[in-house]
Amino acid sequence: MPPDAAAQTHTETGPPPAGPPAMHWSAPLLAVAGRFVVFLFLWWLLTGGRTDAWLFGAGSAAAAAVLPLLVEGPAATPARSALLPTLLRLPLLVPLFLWESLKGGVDVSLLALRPRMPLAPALLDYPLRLSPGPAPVLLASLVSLMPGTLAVIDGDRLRVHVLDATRSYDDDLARLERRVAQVFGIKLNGAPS
Amino acid sequence: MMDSLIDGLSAALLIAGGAFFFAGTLGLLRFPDVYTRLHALTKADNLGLGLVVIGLVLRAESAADVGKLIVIWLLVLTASGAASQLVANWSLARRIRPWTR
Repeated sequence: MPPDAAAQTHTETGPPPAGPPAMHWSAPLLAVAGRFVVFLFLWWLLTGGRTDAWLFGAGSAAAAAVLPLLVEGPAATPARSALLPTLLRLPLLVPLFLWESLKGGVDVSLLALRPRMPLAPALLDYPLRLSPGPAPVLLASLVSLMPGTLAVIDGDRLRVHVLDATRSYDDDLARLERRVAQVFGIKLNGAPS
Repeated sequence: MMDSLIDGLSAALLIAGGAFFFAGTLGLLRFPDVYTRLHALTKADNLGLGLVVIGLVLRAESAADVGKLIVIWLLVLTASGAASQLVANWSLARRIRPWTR
């Protein structure tokens, strides 16, 4: 018991772990390296493991890996901590994605085939309750696959172009937004429930 | 028996996929403005490509081929989603007004 207690106090009084700065210098480098590995893997997969043009592939992968750093600067490197759970939860959206793709594709195809296309387009604004980042991008992509809606992110709102202004899309949009928030494990801003 | 069933299903999916590409192209030509045309391209082509990919997966000879097809689908999805965002964004920034009846 006394030895244990001594050991305990010893670790407690040990030097405090160096407080990590807001962002370590290695974070952007790790992000570039991670992207490079992913792109190289994609190249390998797409070429079926052939090595004829590996130099071109490696060059392209390196360029694609560095490009975000040049465009956005190192500060844009996202926090890695939340990435893995988000990726693991992403498959939750697959059934929704497939179903909306099917409905959206059939809907717009029938519209294009009708002799007199019953279009009544309008531009709507949907105030986002998701914080800026990858979450609204995913939401906009999903909304653009839904029947009759096309979304563009504009700051803290979504500009939604709809093909049929006679019906309301708010419920569908709110439902999708909740699903996306769930996948990213984040809370919606000012959510009523 | 099983083989011809899968062959038939695959053929049906490929033809259906082609039909959606056709409808998407028709929409591109017939719809009145940039926004409505983007609807046709993103949605119909996404579904058409999805059906073609599933049809080809049924004929794939190895798991690597299946992975390759799915990666192609995901890459095209990402690229077309990003392209449609960029085109719509550009049009909105230029204050191109949506067509109304």
